[in-house]
Amino acid sequence: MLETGETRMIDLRSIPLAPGEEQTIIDTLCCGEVHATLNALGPSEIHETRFTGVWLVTHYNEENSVIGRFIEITKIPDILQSQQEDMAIALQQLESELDEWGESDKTETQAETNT
Amino acid sequence: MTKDLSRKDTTLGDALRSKGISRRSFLKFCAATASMMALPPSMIPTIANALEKARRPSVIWLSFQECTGCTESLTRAHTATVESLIFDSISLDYHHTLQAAAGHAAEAAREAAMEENKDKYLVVVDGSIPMDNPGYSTIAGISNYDMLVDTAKHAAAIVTVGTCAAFGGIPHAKPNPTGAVAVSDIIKDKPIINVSGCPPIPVVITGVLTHFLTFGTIPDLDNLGRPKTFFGQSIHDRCYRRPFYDKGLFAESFDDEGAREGWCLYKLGCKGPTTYNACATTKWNGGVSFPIESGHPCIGCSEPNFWDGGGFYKAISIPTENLTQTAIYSAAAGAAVGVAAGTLGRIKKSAAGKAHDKVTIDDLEK
Repeated sequence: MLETGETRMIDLRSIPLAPGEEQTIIDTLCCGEVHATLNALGPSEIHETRFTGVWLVTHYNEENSVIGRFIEITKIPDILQSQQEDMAIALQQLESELDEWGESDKTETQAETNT
Repeated sequence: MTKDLSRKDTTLGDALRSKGISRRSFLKFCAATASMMALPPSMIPTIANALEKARRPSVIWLSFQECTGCTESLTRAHTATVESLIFDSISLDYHHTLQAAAGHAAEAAREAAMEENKDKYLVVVDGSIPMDNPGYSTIAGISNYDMLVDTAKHAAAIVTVGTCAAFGGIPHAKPNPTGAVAVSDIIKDKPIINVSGCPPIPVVITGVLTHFLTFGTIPDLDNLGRPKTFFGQSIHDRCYRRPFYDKGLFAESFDDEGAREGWCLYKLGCKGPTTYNACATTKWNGGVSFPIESGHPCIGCSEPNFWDGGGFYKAISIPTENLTQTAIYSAAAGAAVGVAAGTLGRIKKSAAGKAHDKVTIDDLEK
């Protein structure tokens, strides 16, 4: 990645690990300076490991069972970034709320003028 | 403008967004799906793009000689997961247990779905088909056989849900009073994906649907027509009690020290070595546990003829040496002994199934 910028992702569940080995990997890697928690259809824990640029991403479902665990070699995991589609919806929502606010403000001003 | 989600051209992305699922949540689901389907993480964007644009497929669900346990398995999910949202997002055009319409109105819905989605719809079948007397099981006066043949004619693929539809299941067990057969015994010219189990694991059903939506093809299948992703390894190979087998530590009864210590249930009849399914990894009840984790041997419900397999509490085979000695060999030879025991058991079970004879522990010792 340092030379080409190419990112990589390893699915820990695709590796046949003996009991305890996954925990050994986690204990060996963790933890670095960054820790983020997502709340998207259940929590996700994102840790930058002791090795900068190596991230440990664990997805849980709404019952807190692990549904995926990945090691990502990247500057920042994609899932932490704001998504284009969500931003477009958020913009619509913001404009709609501002419009409502403006309408409400206008109505109040009109009411005061009439008084 | 809000899109009409009842329209057939609604995409899965539209359906998920209408339920308030963010793109980030969707990507998380795709990551978990790639992991579940044993696909490389590099496929995550491909899955996301394909699912986003996928049209809601028309699904016709036929229930024949069954107990409705398979439908219960799928619809009784503990929480509204995205897997269940995927299921909600398909156009389930016919399912006589779930739909409001009945009788001729229901059949009209099935015929309309077949006509509108010719050669594109999926048929899901649970239950076996009686071949002795068509009157044993009919729907709106139509025999199960006729309904299956008629509906399958223009289907893109057929998914059999549950061991009854996949292999005949309990209705097929000796003495098979209705002449029950599996879907694959009747339909020979369509791709059939067998999702066996009594009942099958819900995520396996949605995994197959997700694969179809993502790639437009059926997944890689094993020699029994089951998706390799979920049925590629035996329960024994993925069992957390496997190390006890390798060490020769077995529960001899349900209340002895071995049982309390969580040792291997092989001697109590566990069919894990001959059973291929994802229970040991996917688990049940929202990932809480699976039968072996709850202290009960696997009964092999996802295999053909499991009901005639020689008794749930009889060991599938008795090694010629004592098991402790076998375990020493096992430790030296890795999984070889387990595989061999499994193969031996499968052969004997298969022979028993063909003959419809009950296999006793004495037979297995011969």
